[in-house]
Amino acid sequence: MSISAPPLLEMRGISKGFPGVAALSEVDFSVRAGEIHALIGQNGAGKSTLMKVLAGVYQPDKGEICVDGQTLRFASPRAALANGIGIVYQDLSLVPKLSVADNIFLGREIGGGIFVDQQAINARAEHILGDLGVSGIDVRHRVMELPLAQQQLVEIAKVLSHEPRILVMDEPTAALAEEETMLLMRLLQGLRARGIAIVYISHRFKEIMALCNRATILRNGQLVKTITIAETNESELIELTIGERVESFFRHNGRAARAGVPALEVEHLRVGRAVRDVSFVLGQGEILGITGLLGAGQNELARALFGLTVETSGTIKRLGKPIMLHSPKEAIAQGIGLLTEQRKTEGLVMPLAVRANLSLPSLNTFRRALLFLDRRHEGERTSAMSAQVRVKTPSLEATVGTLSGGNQQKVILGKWLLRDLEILIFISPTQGIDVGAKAEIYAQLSELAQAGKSIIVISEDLLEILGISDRMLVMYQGQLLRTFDRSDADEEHLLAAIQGTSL
Amino acid sequence: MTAGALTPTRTGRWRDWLASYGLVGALVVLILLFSALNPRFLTLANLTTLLEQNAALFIIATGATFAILSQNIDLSPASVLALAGVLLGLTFQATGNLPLAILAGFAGAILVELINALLIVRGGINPLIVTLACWIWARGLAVSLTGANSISVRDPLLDALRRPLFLEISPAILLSFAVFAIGGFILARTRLGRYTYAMGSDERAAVQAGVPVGKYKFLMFALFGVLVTLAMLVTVSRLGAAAPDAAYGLELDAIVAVIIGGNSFLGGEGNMRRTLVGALFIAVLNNGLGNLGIMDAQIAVYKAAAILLALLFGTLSTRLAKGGRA
Repeated sequence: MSISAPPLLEMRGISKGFPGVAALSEVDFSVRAGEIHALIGQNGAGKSTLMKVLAGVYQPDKGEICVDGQTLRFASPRAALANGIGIVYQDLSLVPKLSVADNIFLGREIGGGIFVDQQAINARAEHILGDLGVSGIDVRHRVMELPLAQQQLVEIAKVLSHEPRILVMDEPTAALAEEETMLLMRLLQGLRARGIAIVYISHRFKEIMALCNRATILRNGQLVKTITIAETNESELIELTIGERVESFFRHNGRAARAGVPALEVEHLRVGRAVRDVSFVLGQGEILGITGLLGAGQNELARALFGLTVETSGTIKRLGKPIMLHSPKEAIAQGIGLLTEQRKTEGLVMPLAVRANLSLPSLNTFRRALLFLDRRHEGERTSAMSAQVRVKTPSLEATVGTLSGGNQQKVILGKWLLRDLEILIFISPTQGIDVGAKAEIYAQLSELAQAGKSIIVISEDLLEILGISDRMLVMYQGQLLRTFDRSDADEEHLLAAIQGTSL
Repeated sequence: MTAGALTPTRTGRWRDWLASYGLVGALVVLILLFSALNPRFLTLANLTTLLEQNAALFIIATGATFAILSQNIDLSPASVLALAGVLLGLTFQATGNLPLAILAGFAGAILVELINALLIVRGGINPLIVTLACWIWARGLAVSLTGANSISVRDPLLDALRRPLFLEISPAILLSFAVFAIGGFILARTRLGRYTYAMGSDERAAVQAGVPVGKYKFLMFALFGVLVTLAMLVTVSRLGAAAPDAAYGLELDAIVAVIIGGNSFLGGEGNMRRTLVGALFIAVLNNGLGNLGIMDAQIAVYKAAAILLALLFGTLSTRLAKGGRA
């Protein structure tokens, strides 16, 4: 890439308002051919709006878009795609019940006239995936049968099959594990070498540092700065994004587990073939981080502790007494709650209001005579809880589905806190959440531990694990490989441990 | 005839097989039961009568498969059938010209289905409500146009539809199976079929992929209009008349045939083979119960019970196929 090259894409003075808000004001943004350009900002900073203007989903109120020196206006996403602008959206736009190949060619099937040539479609799809270096995906499988990471790769393949000159990736790695992220990054580097201009939206600063040439930071719909990655560092990027110093990000307060009976003792736990002979202790008021590569067994472990897996053996003691955990109901009765990364399917009832979601597990406590609900009591408790976990919502009656990921996560947390649970297990608590909301969730975890709750955090984000945990467990191939104390853990050692080696 | 969209995985194939053929077992049981109760059930004469009686059901069930797989359930076909029949009857009465009368019926059916599509696509109204309204008004129009009287329609051409060609098999029966085959082909091998699955699975994603969803909905409803016309011809031929109360309840039989055969009521998943098995099940049930000499009201109860049993059987066998607790 030559620094002096004229930009392939130039967006000048873009403004876009929605009733009541100025989503974008006077934003300049440009990307050169053969460049990966990060677009950074908290949720609501205007990244998605800017990209939707580019894609022709929104028409800008002011400003112009130039591609290769020509001013263009896109009336629709199809028009943008036809002009070489391809967007990989964060929420996948695949049709779940169609096959991989059919999805890649949906809307432009191969075949003469009204017919569809299935063999040709399958062959072309295989070719496209092969070109991307993706193996192990059967193009005849239905998309819904694939893990999320593979679905993401299919989505990317679909967009790339249009051969765009400008490629926008909206948080492509949010759902990907280490290995797939590496694959994706190699793929993007290859595309960059071919002269494609890439816009990379991500909350993961490490990836941005490793991958991108420049970064543009937005805050509150305004351009903060465009900087060259080689001339900056991670902390500066974070500070520019949140507009605050980075020290406030992780708050630990030098807390330690309380003396006395452990909240949970796990002895020789086995879960099918996923978890083999794992023993550990969770102290009261402690945050225990558990990490490992994808599939190392940490998720299965968490699910077993919530009674979601039946094929378990071993002993689990709660406050010194052995307990059985055969169903979530039993786990909840023991004061154990699970908060997963699958907010849509496992955590919240999306079409219901914040209030209803908060009170759902504890409706019994709001019961008045027979079957009637004490709406006033419910309102008071849920509104207090919503304030405690700092949910940003227009009202308690707002539909949960309309909130941002970070706020949804807070609602799930509030829901379990209302239930007075003592042990909270989090799987990837900040996955897909912007850096501002992350900081808030970290602060809350810390406060909860301070207040005596015992917390397990399962995460593949090492910085997160390092930042918030009192102790860290590393799992490798279903076994507990190492335990770190906060004082003797650092990123290098943790990184080595999750790969099964030690430094 | 397998759609690429449905190419199953290993376990998927076993499940697909059960979904398609689990009902075949129930069908065999049903046939054995009726043969035991009625010695004349398993005769060639009765079997061809059975197919003849239900030819219209088979044709409408083919259309209902598209409707349900694409999440555009259509409650109106039986009412539209009656209205198209009445239009044919009235035109025939006035002119004595059968081709012209058929054209009138055909035009009526297509027009009504396009109005449905227009209300759904442009009006943004839920298909269930649009076609429910049509179920009401099309039937109402058919009855009021005729003063609730049937119109006799006798013509050699229409009679020929039900005159046996060989083995007592009439063109009407052949037509109904041809419709199944062509419908299956369209579903598996054409864009319309592919988009039927796509719309039913995730319409928003289909739109985002650039599928002209609106256009294909119009096309699908137009196809339904063609099928309704064919079913209407078979019905008029069988009755020798255009009756405003013809095919009453046929739309429900068709929907049940689609679902009982193992197609997903949530759309996006299924195929025509499943509908064929489901439709045969309903046909055997209609004919078998009809020949037992019991009251219509009792027939309804037995029929509903058999349908529920078959569905239960289906869910149980699927659960077994998945291997235990599901």
